Amino acid sequence: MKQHVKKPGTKLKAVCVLLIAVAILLGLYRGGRWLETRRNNPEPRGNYQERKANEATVTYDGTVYRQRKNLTSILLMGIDHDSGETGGQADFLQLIVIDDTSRTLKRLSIDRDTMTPITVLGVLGNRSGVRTAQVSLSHGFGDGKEQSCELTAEAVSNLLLGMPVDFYLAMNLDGIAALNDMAGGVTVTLADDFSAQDPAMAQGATLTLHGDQAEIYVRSRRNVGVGTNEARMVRQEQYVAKLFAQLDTQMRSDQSFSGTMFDTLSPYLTTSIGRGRLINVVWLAKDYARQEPLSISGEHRVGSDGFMQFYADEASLYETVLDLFYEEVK
Amino acid sequence: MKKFACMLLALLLCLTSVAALAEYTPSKKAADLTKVEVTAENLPADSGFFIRIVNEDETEYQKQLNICEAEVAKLAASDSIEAYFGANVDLKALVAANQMNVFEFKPIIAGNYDVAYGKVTAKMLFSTPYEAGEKVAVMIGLVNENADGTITVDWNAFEGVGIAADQIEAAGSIQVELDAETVLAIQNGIALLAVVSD
Repeated sequence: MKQHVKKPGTKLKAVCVLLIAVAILLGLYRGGRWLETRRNNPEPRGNYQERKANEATVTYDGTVYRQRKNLTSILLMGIDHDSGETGGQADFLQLIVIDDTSRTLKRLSIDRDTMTPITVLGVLGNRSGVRTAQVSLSHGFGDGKEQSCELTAEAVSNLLLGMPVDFYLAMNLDGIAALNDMAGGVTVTLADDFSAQDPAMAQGATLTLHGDQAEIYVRSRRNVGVGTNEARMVRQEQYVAKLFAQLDTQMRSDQSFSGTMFDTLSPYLTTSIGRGRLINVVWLAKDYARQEPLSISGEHRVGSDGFMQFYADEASLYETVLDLFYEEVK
Repeated sequence: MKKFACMLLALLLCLTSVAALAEYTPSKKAADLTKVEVTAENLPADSGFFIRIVNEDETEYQKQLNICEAEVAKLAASDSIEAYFGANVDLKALVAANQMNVFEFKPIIAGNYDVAYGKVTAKMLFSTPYEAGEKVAVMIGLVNENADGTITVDWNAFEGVGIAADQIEAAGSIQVELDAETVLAIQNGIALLAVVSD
């Protein structure tokens, strides 16, 4: 018969193993608690004076301005792909700045020939540098969609001294007829003769543009009046003012209108703003005070290459940026 | 009476010139950022000689555009820029840089050239803002259409340099000298242009 004899020290070993196991468990528990509670430590209250000191302010003509908060800037673009290039040109540019604090909606019309630094892409799509050229050309580089729009938003930001462009909404000019008809047609008195394209569009006639007539009115330049982009821009300005006023009335009275508009125009749209967000932004701003569109004054010149250039007046540019993005510190 | 007639004529001329100035001034397109100006050693005044880059909307040159697109795809898929252009060209020495890029790659055509005109100096303006004095390699690719339907391109490298622009619209120009044989080959065949820079 075998006898089980306990070796000396076995009990001690068991106690040691138990102690180690308890120590490990305790360590794990403490570690877990630390992970749980490390984010619960109270944040320092912060330094109000320091925050105020870091606020973006500028001084102009002896007045101090600080950058407004709660702004949303949306760049509207009308894209012409007629040139056959991949990207096409941003022939119509308007920046909308919505201020949720002062409850205002401001617009800035930008001349497509405004000379500003634009980013150029190489043949493989990589950035090959920045050059000064007409802002509308910025859309010609890239894929004609999001990439081109981002380059134009960047160029507009460059023009506006680095001010942010939060969203873009670009519409191929082929969609102008659909947009016009959604507004119920726009009534204009024709200062120039468009009868070569549509017999009803003779100089001096007052008519409500429908369908393709709107595209003819907005797009035509060659053989119409003096033929300059400046003249076309004035015409576009008048048309867009009426179009926006009519669309605005509908958007203010019907929350679903902007969604319907988005859906109808979606074949022609490239945008960085989602459908839902657009509806919310438009509805929120429905009662905001509207102002007449701003524009930057400057000088039109014909470059040595024979193309039109627009040079923004420095003071006008600065004042426009202040008006749109800054408020006076009182 | 004569004085009055002269004044009337002058007024008419003024009005005509104002009207002409007010006429259609084109707005620039991205393609207009690219152009080539040429001179040659013995170029007659009325030669009509030109070298120019083919733009994407010129459908009459669709074949050249298709070949160019296929070659750009090959370049994009190649291991390196040197690997694409071939080992017989020392691009690093020409460009004086370790890191190289190709920003320009287009079909190129020439017309009304005669070998008697000699060497050609071309000022090429691109959208890329090349700096004055910047060394670049201007690559001229002569396209061979093989009997089996495949395409091969023989690339020749020329030393180009960025030139200072006196006008804002001319920023980004480079200058290159091309030999008569190459210009004739561009005129008589299908040719591509690429610029290798840092």
